Amino acid sequence: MYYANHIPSRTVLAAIGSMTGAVKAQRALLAAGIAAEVVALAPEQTRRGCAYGVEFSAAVSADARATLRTARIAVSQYIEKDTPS
Amino acid sequence: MIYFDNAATSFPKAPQATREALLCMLTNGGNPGRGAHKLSLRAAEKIFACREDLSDFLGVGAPERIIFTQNTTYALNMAIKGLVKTGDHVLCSELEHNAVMRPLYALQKEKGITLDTFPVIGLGDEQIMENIAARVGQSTTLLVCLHASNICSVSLPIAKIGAFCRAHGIRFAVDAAQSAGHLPIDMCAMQIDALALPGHKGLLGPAGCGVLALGEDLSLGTFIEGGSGVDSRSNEMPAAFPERFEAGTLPTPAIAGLAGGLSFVTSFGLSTIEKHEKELFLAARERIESLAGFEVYQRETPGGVLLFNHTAIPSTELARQLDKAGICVRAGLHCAPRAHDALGTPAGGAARLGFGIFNTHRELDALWRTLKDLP
Repeated sequence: MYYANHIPSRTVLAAIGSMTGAVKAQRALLAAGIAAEVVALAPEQTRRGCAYGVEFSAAVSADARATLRTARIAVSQYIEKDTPS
Repeated sequence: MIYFDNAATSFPKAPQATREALLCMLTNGGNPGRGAHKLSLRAAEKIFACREDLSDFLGVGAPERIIFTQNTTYALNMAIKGLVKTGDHVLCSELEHNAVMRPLYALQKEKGITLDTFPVIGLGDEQIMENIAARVGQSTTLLVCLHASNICSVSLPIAKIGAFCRAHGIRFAVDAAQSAGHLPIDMCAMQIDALALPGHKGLLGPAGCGVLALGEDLSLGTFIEGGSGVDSRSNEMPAAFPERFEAGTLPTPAIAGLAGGLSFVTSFGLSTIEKHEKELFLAARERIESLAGFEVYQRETPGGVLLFNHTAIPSTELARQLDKAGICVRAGLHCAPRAHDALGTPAGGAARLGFGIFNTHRELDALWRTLKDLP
């Protein structure tokens, strides 16, 4: 279990779109033991303006992607990034 | 104060509903889906949790297909106007509330739809199904009907109607204003395409929040457009459910209260609530019919609503006299004039008792004493 406030500096942002979809994704990840935070995407990261996604540690990226697939949550893109600690 | 108007809105509310609504205003004050700061996220999580609870409770199968609306009427307008095209033929029952009838009348004028009603009163399930089948035509695209009446305790065979509609390619929309929180509903099993219900009646939440639940393969045109918190650069509403249908800020405290009310109903159990309301109906019927000059309509169908009249006292005067004695009932036509015609009430309608889980037999004794002593 990785705690949200201890997410390692390398993270993955799964871009989802709606807040409902993002909260649903967060719940699916938490149920699988993967800490995730709902975050707002910067408008320049999307073509259509404001959007939401979930951010989790890059260390659990494979498990997280599989969990989101199983939960049938549509992810428009995965953005890997360094988060300032 | 004795409250027998639970068919209009429930009172008192579930303690959890009051507590959750208040707590929400104190602690979850952000706007859900409008930013990602802590208070906004708390509000969004509270709303999503309510969608999940409702999805489980109603057998919807997907929390994102729970759409929050202002009330049941708004949800029914969304469903009916979103499903009907120019020239379509629509079926509804003879007991419908104006929340169904007025959108249909408006569509008759605006889109030239045709409308047929099927009889229900005094008929068994088989006869009702025969009457529906006899009215279906090539252009029939929608059947919209109530689950339970708001003026008597008649309920319709929703699962049978749903199976019929699915087999004939007809969309099926249900008005659950009087059944949600009183009778079991399983949207998937009943093959309902669109289900409209209030938060403030049988689910014991505050006013200000209704629900439209949509079936898995159903989409609608948008009813209103506006801010959704996402896809801001697009000129159209987002494609994702439920945001597509929820333009503008949601009433988070009302939704939190609805979640509290739902938890109360779930913990109490629908079968317990249904049994209690039927017992109250039978006890009330016995007391009212023991008095000269009173008549109970649909007396053989016990449930949460009892409609009655006095031969010499107009229903509104009856309600006024009861109100003077501290007893709240509703008289008149209850926004369902066609249903009153079907039951054969006089032009002034009738008086209605709407029972709830908090009503008691002692309150029925007080009702009986007041009716007995009417001038």
